[in-house]
Amino acid sequence: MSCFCLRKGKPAKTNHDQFIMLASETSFTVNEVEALLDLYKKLSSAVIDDGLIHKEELQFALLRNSSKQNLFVDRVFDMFDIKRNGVIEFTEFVRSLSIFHPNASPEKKIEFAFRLFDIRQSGYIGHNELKEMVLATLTESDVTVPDDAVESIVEKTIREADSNGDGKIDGKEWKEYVGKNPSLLKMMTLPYLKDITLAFPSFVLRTQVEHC
Amino acid sequence: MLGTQNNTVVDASASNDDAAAASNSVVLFGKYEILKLLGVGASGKVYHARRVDTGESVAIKAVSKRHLDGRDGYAYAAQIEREISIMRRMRHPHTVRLFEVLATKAKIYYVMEYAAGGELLRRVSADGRMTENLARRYFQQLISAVAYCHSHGVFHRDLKLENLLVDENMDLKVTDFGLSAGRSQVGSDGLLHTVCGTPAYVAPEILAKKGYRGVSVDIWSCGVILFTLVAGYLPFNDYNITLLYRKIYRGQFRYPKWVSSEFKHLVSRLLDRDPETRITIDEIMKDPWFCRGGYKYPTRVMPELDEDHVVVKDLNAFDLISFSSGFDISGLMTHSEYLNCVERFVSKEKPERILERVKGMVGKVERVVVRKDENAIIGVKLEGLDGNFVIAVRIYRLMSELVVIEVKRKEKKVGGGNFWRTLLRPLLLELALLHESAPK
Repeated sequence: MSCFCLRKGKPAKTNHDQFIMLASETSFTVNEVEALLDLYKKLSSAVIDDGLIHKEELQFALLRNSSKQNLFVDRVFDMFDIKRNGVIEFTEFVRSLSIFHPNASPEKKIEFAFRLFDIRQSGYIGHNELKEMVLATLTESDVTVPDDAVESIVEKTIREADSNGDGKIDGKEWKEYVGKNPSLLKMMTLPYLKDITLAFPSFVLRTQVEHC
Repeated sequence: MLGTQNNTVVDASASNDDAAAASNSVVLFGKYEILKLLGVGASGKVYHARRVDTGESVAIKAVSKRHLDGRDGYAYAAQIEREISIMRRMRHPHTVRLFEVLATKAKIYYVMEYAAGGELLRRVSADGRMTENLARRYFQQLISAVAYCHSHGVFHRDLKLENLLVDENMDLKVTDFGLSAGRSQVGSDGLLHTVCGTPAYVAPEILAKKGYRGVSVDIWSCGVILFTLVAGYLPFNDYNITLLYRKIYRGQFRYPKWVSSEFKHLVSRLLDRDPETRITIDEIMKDPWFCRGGYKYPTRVMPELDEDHVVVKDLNAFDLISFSSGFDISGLMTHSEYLNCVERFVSKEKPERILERVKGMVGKVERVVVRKDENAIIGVKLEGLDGNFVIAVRIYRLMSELVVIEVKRKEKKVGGGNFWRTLLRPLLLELALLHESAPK
């Protein structure tokens, strides 16, 4: 059976149907989805004006430049590009951002963060992966930490999280570790998303919502 | 009358959806439960509502979109967008904050801060007036809100008693930015050109139709408000609008017998017919009547740093990774007039010593204050008294003898970064381990 759509085999006919569907699946209201469309349009026309977010555009938005290779931008892009077709479509954008909503469930945030950090997509985070990410961050942000210090921080973190003692962190251990260190989910929440209707208010004029 | 939250009684049997919304069962967008109709203004109705998820009280103003179809629909649409972006920027302890907007094809809903105390008018005594001391308190709060708005290029242009509300602590909340004009509306002569306002509060230069400055008309209206609070009647009043305007234009009004001479002097400077010689905000703040009993200008006019409240002491490897701006999705969002930045430094200094150095430096700088930082175990918040910036300096232990100094800044894009660039950053660089490959 062909599957163009995500709800009961009935194709989404208009943008508005699609917005209602997105709102029902996420923490956003239809109005917020409409406002997010303006943000999406802005981001998706920054480098290549084709109405889709390319990796360069995500990189430009996050780092203010579109050329430098960045491990983390690559990871974020792959996570947002759910269909893995090389672009972030609007529905993918809304679904992924909804995980960052202050009201989204912690379980979803924990799961998303784990996949983000699992850079080799092996189902676990090992010593080498963790060290690679720490070094990449330090290089990127121009923060100086002596090499032996990096090694011991990575070692200590693995030791704390690795409850079954196999030398790496799996999904279950990650969940327990986050439970003990809630600050790790900080980056998974964007308080600003609450403010999205004020940041992009022009939807109030063209909204298709019939009833509140 | 945007944002008016009064207690006008209306006919609840009116057969439209607003009236239905006034009954207890209605929940807007699954998010806000409508509790009660607070008032009806020229442009819409205001309800007291409650957030379903948090229980927080809000005021919701419902405005019809029918004007959008009219002849001036385009201008009206532009006005709505402008108004929302202005209200979004205005965050002051004495102005009503806008949290969110919602819309259907027929209506726009403004979700605003709820002023639990209702209209200030209800605070006057049975004879319709206040003591000078009580009026002074509200006038000081009004002036601090007006000064804040003016310093952001926003003029209220319809200040009147009906737009003054009080919160649960009986502190003032100025509402109704329905006719606010940003600087964008200023003509090539630097003057505003739209006739607006409420007759009894309108400044004489508006009646002269020669263009006017938002600053001076707001000050005039503050004068009318102050006079009315203490006198119990409007300085200019007449059933006949032509006669009313004539009184305003001539500046004809009479003081009640009981007012002090300092009060008379201040009012005469506020209700100066000539906008060129009328008292300014700075002069008001130095006026003897205004200053009597002392006045502390509220300094918490900055928006808070965007963050949740998780307090951390030691950092692990994942904390370090989350420093990456590649992982910082908030970069996708555009931030109004403020710039949000985070910078980090690694240091071998003792945390207490670092804080000492920061505090010692701030102590020598004017108009910057140190505050407690509730979100840190070791840290301080620095605030510019001009509302230009807020900086949180937090210290986390990385390992024994190694700490991360994290600096979160929210500053005005224009003029907000001087303190950071010229004073704080150089100090922190001095304390930080230097990057080996960094250029000299």
